[in-house]
Amino acid sequence: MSAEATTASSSGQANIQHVFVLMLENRSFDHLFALSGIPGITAATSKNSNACNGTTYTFCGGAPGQMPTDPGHEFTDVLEQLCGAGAQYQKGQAYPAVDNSGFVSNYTTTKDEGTPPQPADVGKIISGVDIRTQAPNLYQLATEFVLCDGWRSSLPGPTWPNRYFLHGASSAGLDHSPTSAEMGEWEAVDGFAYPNGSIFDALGEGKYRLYQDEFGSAFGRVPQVASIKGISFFDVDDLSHFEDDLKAGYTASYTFIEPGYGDIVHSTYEGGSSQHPMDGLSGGDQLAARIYNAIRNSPLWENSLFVILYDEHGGFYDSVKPGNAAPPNDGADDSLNTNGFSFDVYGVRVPAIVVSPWVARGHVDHTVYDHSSVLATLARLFGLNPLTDRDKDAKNLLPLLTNACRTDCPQRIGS
Amino acid sequence: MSAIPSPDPRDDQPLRDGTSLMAFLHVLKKAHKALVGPNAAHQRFLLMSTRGHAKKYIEEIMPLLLKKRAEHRLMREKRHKGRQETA
Repeated sequence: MSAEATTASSSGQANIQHVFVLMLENRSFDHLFALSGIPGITAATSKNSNACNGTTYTFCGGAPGQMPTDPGHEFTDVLEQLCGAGAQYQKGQAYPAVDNSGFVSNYTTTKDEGTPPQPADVGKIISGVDIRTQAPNLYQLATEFVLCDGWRSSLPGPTWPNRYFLHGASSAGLDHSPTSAEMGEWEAVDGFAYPNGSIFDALGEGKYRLYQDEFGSAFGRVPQVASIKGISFFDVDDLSHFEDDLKAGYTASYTFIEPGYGDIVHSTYEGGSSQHPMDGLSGGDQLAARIYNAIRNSPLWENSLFVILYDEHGGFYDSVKPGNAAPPNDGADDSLNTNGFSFDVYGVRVPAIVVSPWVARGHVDHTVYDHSSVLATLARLFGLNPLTDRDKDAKNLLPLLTNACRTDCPQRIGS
Repeated sequence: MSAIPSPDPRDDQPLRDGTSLMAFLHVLKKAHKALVGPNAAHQRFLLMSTRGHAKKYIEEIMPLLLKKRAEHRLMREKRHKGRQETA
């Protein structure tokens, strides 16, 4: 057990026995919350813009929940988005200077996710939604509990390595969407392996539970977490069991929930609940409400912390520079490090909502977190050692816990 | 008589390496391997080269995987109940 676990703590911390994490997909903080009207957030305004092909695109409203084409979000896409068109990354050198100037230029040209957009649609990448109407449940959770406007994705790249950071404070050097050859090698060792193991290894069997939303397109019922060594497809329960499980002697310290990914076959992600840009917002919004309602109306509520995250920004504009990050330094070799990235800068800012009766209503938290902050929180709560230098360095969520258990939390949200 | 659905033209598109779809298919292959063994799972996986093939693959193996998942859950519940009764 780590020495920090025995430090005196608020009564909120002492009461948290169950941490739940839902990780949605591909939306930046500004895209979802800049126009929310929530006071005190650090957010894009009409003073923020990107220039592209002689046109200035100013941050504005009117973003559709469902994009016409999938924005790029591979390493080279995010490099352009953060550092401008033409930016180059040299292995072993510092990440280029960030000015958040290339989101529009990248969206107009990237082919990583399919065809680029029509000219009339280009500006959608630097616009924000009206979350009050387009994702009302998430808006309600953000205003009833804590909205984090400093949470970064763990690296400036795509879904898979960012999700690996949530599960292990590292991506073992992976800085891109894995190839068939790479996944074929993982198959030989029963899945993606961290040099220092995953959070699931650290917690041990019986101390964690895994769920995936089973509604919507059957094609999307593939849990990404099951790619990890030691985790199988059969370890992941349908979310239909969640509400009853919480009422039947639930012992898991950590619960990770994935959305349904919808139509992955045609790469539209439609009919899912991940909020992937090609799918829209309503499925994921309803999913967040469903999970909240289940925890809120369970015997575990007063001992629970529920965190809603997004794995990465999906190519959407954000106005905040990510900043430097502590590399994991877990001894991962170079075999997965195609771009030569050093994991010394964070990815783009993403929304995060922290839900618990022990957090203040309507608080906006500016702390810089990344996905390994979940692991740092679990380590403090449950007496685990850090997995890598990344979670060792990461801020945890426990300072958000007060000494008062609120009695004014909504009993149910959504319809 | 019900109408035969028109084929989706996207189904003829080739599978692209380094995409989320390919990665998800590998997750399913990993699970399929646990059911049928590495050789059979690999041979079935190799039959895919288009989105349409991927659709058929998921339609074919997902029911098997979900059935196994349900069995796994029952076994886990029995183990959990057994531990509770022993405690």
